[in-house]
Amino acid sequence: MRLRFHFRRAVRDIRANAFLHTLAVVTICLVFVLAGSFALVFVNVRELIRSQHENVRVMAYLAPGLGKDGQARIARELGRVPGVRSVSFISRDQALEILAAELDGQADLLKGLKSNPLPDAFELVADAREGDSEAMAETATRIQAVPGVTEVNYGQAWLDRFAFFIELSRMIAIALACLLVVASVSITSNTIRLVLYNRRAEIHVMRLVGATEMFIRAPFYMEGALQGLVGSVLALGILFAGYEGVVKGADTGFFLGGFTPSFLPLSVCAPGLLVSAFVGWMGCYLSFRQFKDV
Amino acid sequence: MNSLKPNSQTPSMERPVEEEKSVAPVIRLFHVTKRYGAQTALTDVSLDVRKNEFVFLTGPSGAGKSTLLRLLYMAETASEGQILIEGKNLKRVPRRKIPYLRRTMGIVFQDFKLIPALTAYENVALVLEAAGQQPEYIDKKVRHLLRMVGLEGKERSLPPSLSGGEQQRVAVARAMCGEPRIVLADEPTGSLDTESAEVVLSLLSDFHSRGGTVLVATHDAKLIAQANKRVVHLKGGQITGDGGGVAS
Ligand SMILES: Nc1ncnc2c1ncn2[C@@H]1O[C@H](COP(=O)(O)OP(=O)(O)OP(=O)(O)O)[C@@H](O)[C@H]1O
Ligand SMILES: [Mg+2]
Repeated sequence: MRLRFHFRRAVRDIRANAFLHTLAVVTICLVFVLAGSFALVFVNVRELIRSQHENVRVMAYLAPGLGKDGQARIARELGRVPGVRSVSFISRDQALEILAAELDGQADLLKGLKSNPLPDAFELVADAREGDSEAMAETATRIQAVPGVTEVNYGQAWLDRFAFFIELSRMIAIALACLLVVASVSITSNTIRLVLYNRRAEIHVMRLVGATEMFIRAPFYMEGALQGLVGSVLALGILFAGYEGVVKGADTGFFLGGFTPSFLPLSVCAPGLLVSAFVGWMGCYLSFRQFKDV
Repeated sequence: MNSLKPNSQTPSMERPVEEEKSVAPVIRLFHVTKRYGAQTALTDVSLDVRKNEFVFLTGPSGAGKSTLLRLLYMAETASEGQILIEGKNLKRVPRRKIPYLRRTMGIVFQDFKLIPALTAYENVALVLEAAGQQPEYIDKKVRHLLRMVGLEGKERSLPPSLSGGEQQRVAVARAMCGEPRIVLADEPTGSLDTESAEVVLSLLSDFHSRGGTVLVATHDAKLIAQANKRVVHLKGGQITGDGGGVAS
């Protein structure tokens, strides 16, 4: 009942200050489109990299002369290391063949060898753990600890770069989000302040006839929250239209090697909407702090 | 501040202390001075209004009548002295309690203070909505009061489209609707013809007869003569006379 009553007051107020509110909604919308496009690119680039490198190839080289039983034992133990998805044996002879094939035209180089210098090895496929290089290093240590394994090799440098990229973009995203939140708080705060200024006589009268601050402020808080919500919902709409246009219009599959960009997941949209409502609320709170003594 | 004395002490009143001890004053001003910058609007004013008293506050323009009322509803604070409403010292009323204090009073402002964007009905209803009353009750009460002040049919008019007298009657209806214990009225008949003035006076008298305390600031000599109540004279910010109709 109370809520409906305040909501009606908020709507009346928005009507009376339609221009101001439209301006604020449009500005907030732009801010959220900016933030949203960044999030969209960020989420998809990360997904793209992840999809191409879901697995890390790990080579575990073995000590010589373990025999079939030793190799079988090591295979079992490697299979039990967490994060390891598959284990396949590559004998030193196979390794030499692979090497020869890779050297191709210069196979002569190998002809000079009296014996095969390569060790037996297991090729493992391990989880990339979303580019977490520390987790990967831990997996590598566990593999190394298996008796009979002499050396472990995985694309560490690449993983580190990947992890760095993810971390960097996460930090940029957070910094940008903070900046945009501050910007939109100040936008709402300024609009509500103007509305309060237009309404100062009325607010004064309400105070004189015994209205509490809660009663007076409730519709303004609703206006603020509504401003944020409408702005961000519009922004989501614009982003979605843009996303559809890009995905459907251009043959992204061709450019991105079969990867289809996805729209912002609910785990980004929902907090985004919440933040937008909070932003409006906060803007209102700040303008009231400067408007105590009407 | 410098004239601070214990409140229990008998204030220096012009009037003899003939009131019964059991009836504590509802409004008590104790050596109150109010300055606006260099301008002094009230000088050392002491005044007691008992429960269920009807008091006129009169005096020439600029005497400080409105200022005195504004101090009572806490739109201003006294520069010196103490003010007690129903035993509460206004200096010690915390900010968040002010709305509740104001709800015990019905105020008719000299400049009406109606909200121009709200209809006559909504202006009156606002007080009850702010007090958290039920919609059915609000509707009944507001319609009844607007009928009482002769504004039936004007419920949906906005204040700017009402005449001065009509606006004033909306203001009176608003002051009465919250069932206050005290009514403070600043020139409640200032824009009214004799007939409407009588309606307002009878509303105030009715409120008084139901146990309410009334303080009316006015220059309307006819109104004062007609009502035959206690009259406090104010001039240059000081009380220059107090009496008449004591047996109210
Ligand atoms: N906000 C203010 N700032 C400065 N001076 C003020 C203010 N309000 C009132 N005054 C001064 O205080 C004095 C008393 O004013 P007040 O409004 O109380 O008079 P009044 O008795 O109500 O007069 P009237 O009958 O014309 O309404 C006047 O001299 C006025 O100029
Ligand atoms: Mg006055």
